[in-house]
Amino acid sequence: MPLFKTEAIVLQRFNLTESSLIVTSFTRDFGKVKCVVKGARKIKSRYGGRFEPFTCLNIIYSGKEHQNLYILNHCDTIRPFYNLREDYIRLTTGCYFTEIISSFTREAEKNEELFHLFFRALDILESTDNISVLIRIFEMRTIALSGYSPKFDSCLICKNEPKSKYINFHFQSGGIICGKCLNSSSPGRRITLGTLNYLKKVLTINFSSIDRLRFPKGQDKEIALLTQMYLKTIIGRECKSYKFIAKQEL
Amino acid sequence: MKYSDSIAKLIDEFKRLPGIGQKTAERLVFFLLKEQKDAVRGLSEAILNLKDKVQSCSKCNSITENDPCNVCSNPKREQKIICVVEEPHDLYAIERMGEYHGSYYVLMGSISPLEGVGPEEIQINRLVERVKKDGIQEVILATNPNMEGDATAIFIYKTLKSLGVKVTRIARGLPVGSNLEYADEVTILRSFEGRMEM
Ligand SMILES: [Zn+2]
Ligand SMILES: [Zn+2]
Repeated sequence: MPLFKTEAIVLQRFNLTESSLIVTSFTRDFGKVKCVVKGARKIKSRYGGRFEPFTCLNIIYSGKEHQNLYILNHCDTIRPFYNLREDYIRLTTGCYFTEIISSFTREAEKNEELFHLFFRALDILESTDNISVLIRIFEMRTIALSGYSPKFDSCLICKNEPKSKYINFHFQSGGIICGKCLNSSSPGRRITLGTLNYLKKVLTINFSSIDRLRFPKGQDKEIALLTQMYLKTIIGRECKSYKFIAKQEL
Repeated sequence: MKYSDSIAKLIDEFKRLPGIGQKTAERLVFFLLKEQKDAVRGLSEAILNLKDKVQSCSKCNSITENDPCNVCSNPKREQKIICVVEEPHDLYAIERMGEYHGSYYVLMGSISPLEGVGPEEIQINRLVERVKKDGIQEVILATNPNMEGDATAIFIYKTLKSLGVKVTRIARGLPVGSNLEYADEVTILRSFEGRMEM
């Protein structure tokens, strides 16, 4: 039986029997992977707490290709991200990121850039105080890296760069309608040009300068609502863990 | 050949129980068929009694046949100390140790952001009320050492700390009888954090 070796970040785990677990992780090389881990639930298990959500591991697993359940043969920890478990806001935000990744990824679909985004976001989440900006960056970049990159530069109708104070963001197409083309029956949500510029920054800013990006009061809510609604349109439902985030920021 | 209605129905009922599949359910049904009527009646009454007599304690939520439960109504137990656990079976595990003499509070779950279970869905409010009303001196958090248990413990700590009550959490670390060599990084870290002077 072939062996697979890759890096993985744990998304979720379920009890299978008294002694074994099913662990779902997002891997660098094989997309989402589901593995059975025998003996993981025993109190003296050599795995300990390695299968807790957001733990980053080196894993070796085996099974026939393209089946949906593999056997985990070996793992060791790369980064446990345990600081996320010491603080309620960081912990719930980590869960939100995990659920987003889980919703956007599928088995056997490699997305290495998304893997790096996830790792980097958890890394920054351990220490940054600018959590709401990090959430927006994570939401928008996950959307973009999953093939739903929004088109902020030109109007869907006239193809010109928007210059007016207000524009509409159209969720289904991920595009914008400029002020000149807008009328009362235009679809989408009205936002200001200022918000649009922040959204562009969210898509391009370097993670290392995240602490320099702050949203003005009032606009932060508009940006949060927009990214959240866009995400919801794409995955077709609200993330279960979003209510924890919403309570903290809206 | 298909099973008759009564047999098929009981097989289906057994299959709803945890850990019981078709084969085991069939074996149980055929075992009961061979039993004396009294024995079968005894079993069904015991099951019905469970729902009629067993209730949850109005003070600590634990399962009991009299309210308040034997722990909450025992004057020898230190009622000003509360140990918070996730499920009733956690309480029994601590009772088996026999060295804890305080009272309990059973949350009947844990905060699980990935499942959308928040503080409102488990009964944290009633714990807070009890801490205020009964002049509780110490709250011992004995939630599981996993992500959900951590979330629950930090949330309760955040909620209670303004009340001036002492909040402690049971130590997390190496299981007795295990090997340091095989322990994962987080377990070793917790063991160091929880080290004690000898
Ligand atoms: Zn236009
Ligand atoms: Zn009680």
